[in-house]
Amino acid sequence: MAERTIPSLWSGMDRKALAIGEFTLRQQRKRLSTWVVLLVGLAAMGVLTMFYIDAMTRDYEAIDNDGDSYDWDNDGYPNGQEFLYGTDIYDVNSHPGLLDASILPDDPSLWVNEDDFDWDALEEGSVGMDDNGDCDTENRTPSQKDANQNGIPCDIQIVPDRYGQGTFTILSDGNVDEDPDDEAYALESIHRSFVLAIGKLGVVFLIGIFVPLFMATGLIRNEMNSGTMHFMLAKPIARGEVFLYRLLGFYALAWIYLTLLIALLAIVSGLMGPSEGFFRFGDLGVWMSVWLASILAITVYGMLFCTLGVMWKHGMVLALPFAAWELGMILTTLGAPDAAILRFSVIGWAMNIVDAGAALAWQDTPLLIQMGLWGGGNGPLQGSEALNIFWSTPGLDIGALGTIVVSVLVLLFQAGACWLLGSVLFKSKEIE
Amino acid sequence: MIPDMTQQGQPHQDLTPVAPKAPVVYFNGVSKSYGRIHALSSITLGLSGGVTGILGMNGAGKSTLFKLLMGKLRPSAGEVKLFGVDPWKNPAPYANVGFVPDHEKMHDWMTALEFVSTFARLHGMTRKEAEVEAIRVLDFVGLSDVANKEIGRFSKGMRQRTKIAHALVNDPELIILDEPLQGCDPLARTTIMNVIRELGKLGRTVLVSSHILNEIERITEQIVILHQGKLVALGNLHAIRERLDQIPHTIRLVGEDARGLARDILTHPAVFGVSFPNAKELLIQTYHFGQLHAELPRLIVENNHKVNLIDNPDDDLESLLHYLAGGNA
Repeated sequence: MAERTIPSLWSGMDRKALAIGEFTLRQQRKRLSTWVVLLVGLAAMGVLTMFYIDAMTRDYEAIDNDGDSYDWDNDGYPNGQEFLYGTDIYDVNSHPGLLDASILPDDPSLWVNEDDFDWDALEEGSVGMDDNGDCDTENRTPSQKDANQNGIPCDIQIVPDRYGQGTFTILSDGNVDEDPDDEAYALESIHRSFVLAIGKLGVVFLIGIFVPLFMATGLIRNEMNSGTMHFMLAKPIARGEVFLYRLLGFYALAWIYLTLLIALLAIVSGLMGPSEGFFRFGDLGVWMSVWLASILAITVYGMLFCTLGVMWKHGMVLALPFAAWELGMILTTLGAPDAAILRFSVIGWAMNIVDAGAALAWQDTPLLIQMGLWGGGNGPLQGSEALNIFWSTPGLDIGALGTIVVSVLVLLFQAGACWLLGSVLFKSKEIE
Repeated sequence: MIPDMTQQGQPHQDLTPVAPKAPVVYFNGVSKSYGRIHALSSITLGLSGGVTGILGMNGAGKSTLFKLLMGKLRPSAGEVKLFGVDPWKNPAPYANVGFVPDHEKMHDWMTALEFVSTFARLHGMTRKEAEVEAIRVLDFVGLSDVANKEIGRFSKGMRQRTKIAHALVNDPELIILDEPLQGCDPLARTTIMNVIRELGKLGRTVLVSSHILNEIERITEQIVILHQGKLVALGNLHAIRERLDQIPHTIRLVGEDARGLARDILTHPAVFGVSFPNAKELLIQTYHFGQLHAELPRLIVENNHKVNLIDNPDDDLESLLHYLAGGNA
């Protein structure tokens, strides 16, 4: 017999973990169902991405939100231009050309989207610029110019709401930012909506729950049913270890899959999304939080479903109501991210991580939503309502970083508890 | 403790606190029941060293006995000890045990070498050590030339031998084989029997179960007979067998000319009766089964008969069990 190195307790555990993990990984590679599940997941994300690419490449109709590109008195000068010079928009004999013949009528399209949001100034306090100059005209009184009474004429005062976290009240002086660029707004908000929607609902929830549902539920149970578990349990290894190492093999596959999938989504959306450069590096923080949340979610779900499989031979039947519960919870996070019931879910904590990551990476989003819903006083802009649905403020009132730390710890605790439960159940199972 | 990252290995404390005189296998008043069905009732048994055949009909409790020993089942009553340790609570003694389960299902997608070396690594061997050991045991069971073929393409006999190799990879003190000969072709049968005898000669404790007396007879003399969950006999097969010879027994022959065969065989003193179910079949009644069984081949060859099959329609074990139970077979 060849000379053997005698393992210490730790090296023995490493070697066994590696052996079972590797075995599990190879076993899954040989199974058709593995490839079907992974490809279906990829295809589903691909379809969602198609909708996104379509939204990004579509032409958005530029809407004249304030109606000043019209020429009501048919004197050739658009209302906006007449308004600027103080002539009468209802009188054909009153237009800027009469006062100064060198002023020629503007093309009406110049008065569409002419009063853009001041994107760089999305912050609390006094923002907004009267880009088209129709606020600060001579025929308006000082009180008209400072309708929000903050002492600054022709601005927008953004006041954080006293109770609602991350929501704002917009107090606007008349005719400021009232005709924003619809396309720019739509692209930015639809882009953010997509990243949040596919990150939360697609990757963290759908992939996070369905991949382990099909691949982890049978990790122990299938071997128990077919009798092949006898080979493994005839070796000097505790059942709790077998349980853990089997899952490690599954995780190796699932974590790599998630990482590649998220990298792919980040690259596609980074290139397609609206940006000044060629790539939206600003989104990477959100994608990293999606990655962290999905890795942890799939870890907890994997442990839980494997445990349910050990508990009962029809573990899937136990897993499905749980998946439905989680679906209910993720819908709850969209509407009420701070609902107490979310503490009793896995997805609620995972969503906290994504929400906190998005809050760090896109700090101006709540304002972007409010501005879009307000729309210069002219109703919601396209994309603002979608963003309002998929954006949530983190459910914990302890700051974004604190939320991430606490949520990660809670998810790790959940995974640990499931492992403990699964090991104890497996240990007490008699195997025929 | 620091993880042994380099995997150089360091001596460690013995994980199996084996009492110095503990028998390898020890059952003390062990029962196992499923509701009202008693799979095993008050088995008391201690075994150390040598090859022991566990004989019993299907459902006699052989597999249950082994599963209790392998910590797969928890005894309903009594205590099971493997090297002095309760196997239900502690998997450590399996470092010295090789187990060949009777389940058909294996990991068909693996090659024999992968299968054996993967499970060898669960003994704490490195990948390389496991491979060396796997090649050694596959050679021992005569599978070295197909070591790199997928198990799914193996015959039943090759699969059984792969399972045996998997059990031997840690050079165990105790080897448990659950029905290792079932479904095997004659060549595999012979190889497996040789392997088992070889292990016995090496001083290992071997437990082999079977429901066919002749098979066990060719492997070992030490037997344990289980019937309906009870231990009915324990000891040397020959001693039991000699007494079995005293009860009438049937041998079935299938050949070309049953009547001619009968004529020649009737001259043998051990035969006391014959019958012909059809033209090609012959049933012989005897009181000296062992003697006749040994001399039959000579009788057939000497008289130039063509015989396709020699069979014992009275299952040997069944007769033995009837006898042990005090009935008349």
